Amino acid sequence: MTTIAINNTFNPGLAYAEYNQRKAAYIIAAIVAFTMSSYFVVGYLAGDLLFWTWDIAQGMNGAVGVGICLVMTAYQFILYSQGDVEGGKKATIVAVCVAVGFSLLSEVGQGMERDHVRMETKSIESPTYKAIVGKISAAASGPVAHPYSRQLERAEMKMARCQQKVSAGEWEDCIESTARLNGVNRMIEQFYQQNQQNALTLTDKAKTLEKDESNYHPLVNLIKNTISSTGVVASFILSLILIGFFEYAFHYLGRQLAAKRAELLKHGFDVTRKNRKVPNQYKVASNNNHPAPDESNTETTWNDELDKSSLASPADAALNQAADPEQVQRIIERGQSVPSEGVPQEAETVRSTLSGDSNGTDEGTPETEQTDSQPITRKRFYKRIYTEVRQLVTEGHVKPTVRPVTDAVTTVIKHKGHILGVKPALITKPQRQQIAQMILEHLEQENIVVRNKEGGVGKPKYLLAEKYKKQILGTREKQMDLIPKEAQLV
Amino acid sequence: MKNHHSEYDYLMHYHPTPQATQPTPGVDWEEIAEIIPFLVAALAWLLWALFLLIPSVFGLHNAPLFSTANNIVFTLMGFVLCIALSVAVRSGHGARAIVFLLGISLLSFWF
Repeated sequence: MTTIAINNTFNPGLAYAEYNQRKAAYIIAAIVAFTMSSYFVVGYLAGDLLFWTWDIAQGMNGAVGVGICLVMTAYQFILYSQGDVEGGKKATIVAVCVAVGFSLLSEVGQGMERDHVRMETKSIESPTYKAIVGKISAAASGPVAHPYSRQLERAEMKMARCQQKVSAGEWEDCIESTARLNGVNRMIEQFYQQNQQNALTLTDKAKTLEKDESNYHPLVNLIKNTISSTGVVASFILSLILIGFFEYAFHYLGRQLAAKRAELLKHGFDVTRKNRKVPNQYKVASNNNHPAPDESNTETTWNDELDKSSLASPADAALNQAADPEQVQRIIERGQSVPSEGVPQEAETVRSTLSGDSNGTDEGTPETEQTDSQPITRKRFYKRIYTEVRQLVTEGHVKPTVRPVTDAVTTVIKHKGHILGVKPALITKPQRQQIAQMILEHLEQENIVVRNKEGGVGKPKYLLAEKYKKQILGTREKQMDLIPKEAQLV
Repeated sequence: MKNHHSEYDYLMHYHPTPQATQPTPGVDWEEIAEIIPFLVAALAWLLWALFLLIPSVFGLHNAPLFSTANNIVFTLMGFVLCIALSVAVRSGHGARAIVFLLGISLLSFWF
């Protein structure tokens, strides 16, 4: 039982060691894949693989081949190690097909080449082929004597005697002798023609035996006979199967690496031990007429923005500092503004609006100028709303429940929307409610509000924390002390 | 005497019952099942070494028929298949381990 318990416990050291092993295996597989692709592609483009003998043209072609293989292998390397890509399955399948297609085509060639070399070598070494080649060599080595030399000699003698008789006047002509001689000559000619024909037949036969498809590997022959195809097609299929195994192994190693990385990340461990520099946030000026990419995407939820809030910029940090309730309280009491962001001024405006105080600042052009110099992102937009609503809640102007907070959010957006660079009408009620819900959750995280233990229908979910309740009571008592007692009685 | 007889009877008829903690005689199939994946991995590495690595290095079997680059490429291919098989065995992916073993066997036979 103890062993099982130990096995089920996540060990980051072991997990990281295994991650490194898989990474090494995956890199080896990528190098092999690159070598395999290059072997065929470079050999095809440059003519041969002996790069030290290449001329300039071959070198250029070879460089192109290496470049193509490098890019495609890098593409595979990145693609396979992504793991499961949600929401883009079709694109992923297409991408994998492209990568695998290139690899198969470039790597199958060498398998077929191997089969071809094996078949040719075995064919050339066969005794039949050697015998035929010997005959052809003998025929080509010198002129072949025909077997009709005696007949030709006799016919020529008779022809000579006949011509002598005709010249002596004994015979009238040599028709018979001439016919005999012509017949023998025809026979000789036919013999040479037949000989030539035989030589051609032997050459054809030698050519056939030189690439005897029965000399393919038994596996190729098996496929060839099974599907009744040529040896080349069978060799292609076998090479495809073999390379398919390799490609699957490459893909599998990539996925395993991604799985191990995901496991480490799931348990809160990063796979790199180097410090990452956080890039600058994308900023949109408030006077920019073009909508920000985030804002145009209605599918993006406010929770997404909240998740990104861990990457706070220095300006956000300053905002957070300024949003500290005690600091804000001090600033308000002294009648000062926060020089960096001017948030308390805005908060004061909304507070005045919500509490019906007519002393609030006008919707201000000075604030617009301030905001123009500080471009607003969606995250900052949320933080501004949050800061103002939090102040209203801590001061007791707004109850910490969804509806009043939503109303407060609506008021903030209505009054500050143009400063923040958004049109209030574009933010729908469900979105405002979502913002209100997030604000309440954040207030709970900051211990400004607490869960109402007496939960139930009709009862508020959150209550203001005791600390803030006491602060509000203390402030009110001070205010009451400042009012003359006569006025209090009235 | 009575006591002696009873002790004698007890000793003569004593058959100790088997304890749960004691190893049962016979084949422990569970232990054998546990080592099968590692045997598969060992077999794969052996096939690779015997039919791919050694012939390529020493020019045995059909290796001299082909170019050195071709032999190296296919030996490395078998090496990657062996690595993938080892990873599959460690991850408990039995079906994939068998697929890779099949690939190595085919490659060894074809090489």
